Amino acid sequence: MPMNSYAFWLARRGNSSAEYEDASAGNDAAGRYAVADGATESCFAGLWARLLVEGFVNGAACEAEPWIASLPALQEQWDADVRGRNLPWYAEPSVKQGAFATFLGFMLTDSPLPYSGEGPGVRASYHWQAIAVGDTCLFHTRGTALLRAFPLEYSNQFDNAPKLVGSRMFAQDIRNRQKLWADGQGQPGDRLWTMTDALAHWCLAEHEAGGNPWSEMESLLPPSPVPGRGAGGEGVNLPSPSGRGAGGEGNSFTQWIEGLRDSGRLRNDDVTLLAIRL
Amino acid sequence: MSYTAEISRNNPTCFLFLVDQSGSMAEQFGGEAGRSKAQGVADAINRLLQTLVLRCAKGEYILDRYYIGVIGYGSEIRWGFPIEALAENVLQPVSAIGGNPLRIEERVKRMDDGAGGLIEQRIKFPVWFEPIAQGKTPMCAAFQAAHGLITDFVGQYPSCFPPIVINISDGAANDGHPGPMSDAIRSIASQDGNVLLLNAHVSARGERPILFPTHDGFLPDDFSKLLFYMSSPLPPAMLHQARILEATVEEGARGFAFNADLASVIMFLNIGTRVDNSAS
Repeated sequence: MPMNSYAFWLARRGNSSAEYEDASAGNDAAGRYAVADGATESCFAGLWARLLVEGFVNGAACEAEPWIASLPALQEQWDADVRGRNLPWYAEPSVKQGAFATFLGFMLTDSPLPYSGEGPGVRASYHWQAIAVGDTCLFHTRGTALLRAFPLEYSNQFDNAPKLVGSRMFAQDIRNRQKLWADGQGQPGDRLWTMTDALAHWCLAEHEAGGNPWSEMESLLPPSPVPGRGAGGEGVNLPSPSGRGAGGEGNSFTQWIEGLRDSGRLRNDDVTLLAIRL
Repeated sequence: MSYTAEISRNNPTCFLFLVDQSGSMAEQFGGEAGRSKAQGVADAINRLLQTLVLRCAKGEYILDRYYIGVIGYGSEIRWGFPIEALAENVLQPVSAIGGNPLRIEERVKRMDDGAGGLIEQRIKFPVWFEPIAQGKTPMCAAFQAAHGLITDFVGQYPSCFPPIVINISDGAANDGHPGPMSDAIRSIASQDGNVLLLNAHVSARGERPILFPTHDGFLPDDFSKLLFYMSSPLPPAMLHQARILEATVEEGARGFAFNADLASVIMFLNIGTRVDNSAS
């Protein structure tokens, strides 16, 4: 399954990197990727977001029910980690409530199609399946065309109360969240962009206004794909063999995001982008 | 528009409590047997401080969206909390308040068990402020002290949500007429509006509490009326919030409470803490 994945992130302006509460993870061998956004109102939300993405990329579930069934083990890990800390009095009420995060995880599998030309053979194709809770989004693009947006499809669907997965939430409550699962078919050259809400909102708003956000993001990726994981942006949080951006300037993602923030088009929030080049 | 500034670490606001600690605060509180006005006010302030800290708590950390101070007035002017770690400045960042209670008490709270009964739960109740009831009522001197602190704060954070000064008293000032000094406090302004001066009259009288009145008609004595006229009219956002909590609040209401019971005092003090809910 020849593909390249690139992860970028930047903390909310005014916050330090330690206060960043999104998370992303990838497992190229298994074709599994995930992004989560810890809810700022809850505590230890960054830890919960990290457990969710790592649990997904190292797990096997790619449909809603098996994924929900995998959550209690992660909830126990969160509880054990938090319980082990010597917490001050003011942390107790929010620890009892648990942490919350939005989540999007997807899995890619080879799904060859019959060769469209003359003669026998197959052409490469990929099947993706995604699980989502809340407003972390997946966009499937081909060139400048947006083929699929999931789970949100319009910029006016974003608000301050997205659906969330909680570290103390029961399975039934998670099951009741809407739009848990989707799938699609991709071909070589397609892109899958997964991102947390601020950037996802910007992408859809740009797209609706006739702009081409996909090309802007494309410029963050290295011009010629190299095998293995690439990396871009100062704040890359997936291991990068080179330790710096593969897209030229190591801080181009940071500069791009700061520019969007300056122009008032991007809400000041933690930003995470995971790009897959099929 | 005024009173709309985001309250964040970069642009904090300030709460300053002026607390009457005169001898008469030892009297019974609002018809509650066995409990002094001083104890009632101390409980109310401790609970409010707890609420303010929890609003800024983020796991193990506290985001400094507020500066909080107290000035007691009775036998002397007492600057700040009686806690060594908080002694250096009257106005302390909320993280310093949260990290340095005088002690943490365990109290029992009765809660709905969801099946029509009550269950008892042990909760932590941090204490910063103890009841004191000694001496006279130098309210003018307390206002003078507040004026200086608030002027400095607004100088440091000129675009802050306007500081909120909360004066809690049971009797008349005996160091002059507090009107001019309270006018001076209310006239201090950030770019987001004038300082809000709220007054709570805690009384031994058992009459029904009055919260955010629009006129002085139902107020029982001249001192209540004086405190009412010294109080800021509620700005639109606070008026809206007050109406959610208390449907009878009308346009033109002032930030004044008479004989408010403990719950109303807290409700009253909680107004005006609109906060940017993100981690800034």
